[in-house]
Amino acid sequence: MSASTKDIKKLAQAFLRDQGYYRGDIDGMWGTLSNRAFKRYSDYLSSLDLDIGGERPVAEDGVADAVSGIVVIDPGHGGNRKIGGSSPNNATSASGVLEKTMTLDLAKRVQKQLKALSSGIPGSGIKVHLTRSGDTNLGLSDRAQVAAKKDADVFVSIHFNGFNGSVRGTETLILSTEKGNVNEREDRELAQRIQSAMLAAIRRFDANARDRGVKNNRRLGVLSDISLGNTRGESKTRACLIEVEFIDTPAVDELLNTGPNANEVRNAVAEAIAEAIIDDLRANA
Amino acid sequence: MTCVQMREHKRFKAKKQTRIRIPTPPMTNRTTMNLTIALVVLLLTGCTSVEESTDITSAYRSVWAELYPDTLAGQHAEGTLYGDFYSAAASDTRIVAERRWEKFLSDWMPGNAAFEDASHARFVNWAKLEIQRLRYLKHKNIAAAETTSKRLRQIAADME
Ligand SMILES: [Zn+2]
Repeated sequence: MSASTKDIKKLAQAFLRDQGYYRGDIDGMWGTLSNRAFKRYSDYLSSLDLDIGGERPVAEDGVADAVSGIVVIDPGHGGNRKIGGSSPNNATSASGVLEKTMTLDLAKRVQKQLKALSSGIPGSGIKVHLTRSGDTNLGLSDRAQVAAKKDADVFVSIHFNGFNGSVRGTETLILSTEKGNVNEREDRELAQRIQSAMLAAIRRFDANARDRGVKNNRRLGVLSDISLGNTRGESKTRACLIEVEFIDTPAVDELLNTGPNANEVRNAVAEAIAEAIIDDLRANA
Repeated sequence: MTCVQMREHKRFKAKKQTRIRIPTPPMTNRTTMNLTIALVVLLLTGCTSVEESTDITSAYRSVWAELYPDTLAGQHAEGTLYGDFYSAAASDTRIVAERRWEKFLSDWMPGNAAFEDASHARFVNWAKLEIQRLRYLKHKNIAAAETTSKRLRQIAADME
């Protein structure tokens, strides 16, 4: 009896999981996670150069490339008073969940995912720091300075949007060169990776997700290269600010807070962000 | 002249009507009749020849309120970005609007030209255009006010 397409997909998923590329369910449903895992495995195969015998950028047991780096995740807002240009809260979800609560929740999930992914790849060592771990506020430059003090490779500030209670979309912001960004190209690459990953994760649960793209014309204090410690000669930290969705829109509130899959959606978004950060660390190793 | 401007004219004229004092010396019957006819014509046609009022107590409606009246219900506290923005957008007279938009920009326009997130940048930019439109209205520059309204409507359309 021949195997069904679904069985073959299950076998492929199991193989990719054994190789360390896939962490989804072995269900024969070939979605974004499977595609991404397959692409990474294909990239790994094409990166092998056995004839020449040069350095292999992979661990000796053949699983995913080891990856190291320092990541600072910044949950936007917090506390009860405005400090250094940072408000305690801006957007509020349709059901009343505060943006500052959602940013902290997502930041902790991203941290957890980064640690889990890192520990699953032999030889890897990703250190993850949060600018805040409780309901406290920090000034915008103080947040960026955490990245400078920790000598971060990647700094991601997490926010949720609001507008008129009905618009949708995911957007990622970087500082433009005219506003003093000394490594805009690297920031844009990081931002694009995270933007694409977040969008794909949200689309798995909601077809109405909208891509608002990567934007570089905002004067965002938290992305100041001076505070991040980047100079033209030494620009180590790649940085962006993500606006996950418009939480004052009831459909988004249901998706992320009140609906039956809210926990799963938030985990998927966190995993997508973590994977994108790891891709960025690899690309800049 | 847009419907909104016509509405504002009518509100203004209605207010003005209530302020008419009997001039001295008393008008003749003929003068009174002519004045009444002129006022009726003005009210019925929303006559474009009447200049925009410089009276800051005139009725006002922000472009935001025209587009998104449901956001003005006061779910956000005073002193927050959203609360202060929606409050200014809900103003119904020019004097209140001017005071609230100015306070909004004074409180939320970043001193060092740095925004904290996307909604902060959007609301500050929107507020700048609303107060610009208000000033055009105040100085009877209807064409410029309308151009500013169009810019705001275009931003709103781009958000959809
Ligand atoms: Zn925010």
